[in-house]
Amino acid sequence: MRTSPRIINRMALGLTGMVLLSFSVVASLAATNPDVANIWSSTGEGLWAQLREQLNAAPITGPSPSVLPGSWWTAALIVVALVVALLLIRWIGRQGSGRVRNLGQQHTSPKHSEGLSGTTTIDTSFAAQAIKSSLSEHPAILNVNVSGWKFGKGSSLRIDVTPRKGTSPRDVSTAVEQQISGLDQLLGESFPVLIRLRRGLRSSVASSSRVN
Amino acid sequence: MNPSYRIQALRRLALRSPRSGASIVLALVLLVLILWFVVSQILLWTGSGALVMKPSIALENLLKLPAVLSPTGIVAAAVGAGILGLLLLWLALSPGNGGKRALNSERSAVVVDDQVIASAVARTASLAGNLGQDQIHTTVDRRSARVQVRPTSGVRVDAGQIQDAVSSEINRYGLNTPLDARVTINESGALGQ
Repeated sequence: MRTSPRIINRMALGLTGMVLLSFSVVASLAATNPDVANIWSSTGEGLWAQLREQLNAAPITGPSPSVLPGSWWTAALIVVALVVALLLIRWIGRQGSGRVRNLGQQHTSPKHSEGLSGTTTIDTSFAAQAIKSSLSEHPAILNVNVSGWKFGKGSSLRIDVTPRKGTSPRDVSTAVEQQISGLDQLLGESFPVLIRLRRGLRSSVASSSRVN
Repeated sequence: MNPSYRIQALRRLALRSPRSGASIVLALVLLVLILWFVVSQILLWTGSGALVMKPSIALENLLKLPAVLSPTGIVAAAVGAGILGLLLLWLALSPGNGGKRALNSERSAVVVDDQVIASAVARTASLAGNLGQDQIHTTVDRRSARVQVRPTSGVRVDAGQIQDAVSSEINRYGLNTPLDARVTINESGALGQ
């Protein structure tokens, strides 16, 4: 599966939603009730005055103060804003990643294997070929796509299958799982597998009738 | 035997949208706001004007909003923020699986599009009722698979038989959420099928 930061995504969306909703509630109260509007304005006025005071308390005094009419607070805020911007870019970058080329690696030391040592790598495309070639002959399967994804500490296989229109998904999943058990034996290790039975464009357009 | 913890976790992930698209949009909006603030401040320091408006004036206006905006303007802002807020909360809380469900299985997590189930159910119904594919219309929604049968004119259709066949087909899947089969026979028949 894709390793998007799912929890962070949902928390960020929910938090922004709640901020907007609370703004909406207060604003509609202010629109209907003049007292609330007055409280908002006067509190805002007070806050703004305090803020100005704070800003003016730390002026940036450069060689010519008129050229730099800023406050150290603003400068600090810019630094914070830039850090937040970097975090946001990192957040975007983490979406939808996690595809892997190798499903796994095994290091062999001389002790265990008759004096030979080395590394065995299971290439995703090897597993993909094994599954694809056996399933492409299945009459109920139009298309197979196999990819490897990071999953927890290891990796997982994702098998996307487009079944022919009208085929029982149970029949297709049984056929795919037979190939998986073959792969398990071949690799001597069973990776977690996600099978997605998807409606393909071809299968939704095509008729299911065919001669067996 | 139940599927292993790893397989169950994989299935849960497959049935829940990561919300990547919405998150990227949100991040980009926030980035634009931040860039506007930073660029405007730097432009102000170097003596040129800010972009659109001074950040300090924007903040001041927000703090004293009822004094700045007319009541209608505030209502409009409240409605806009409310709709957007509800949408974001819905995105955060709803699974967003996009019409998929899970078949039970030990070795792997199996996730099926509802349309795949619908077409399999339609085929089962057509075989059970000895009807053509185009006499059957199936839709799958969250709770039920609705099978609409348009019988051949003058030929009785056994609704019970179709119902049994469809139910037993759905039972074979062992779906993670219950799916009721509802077979309805149309009043009007089809000619020449």
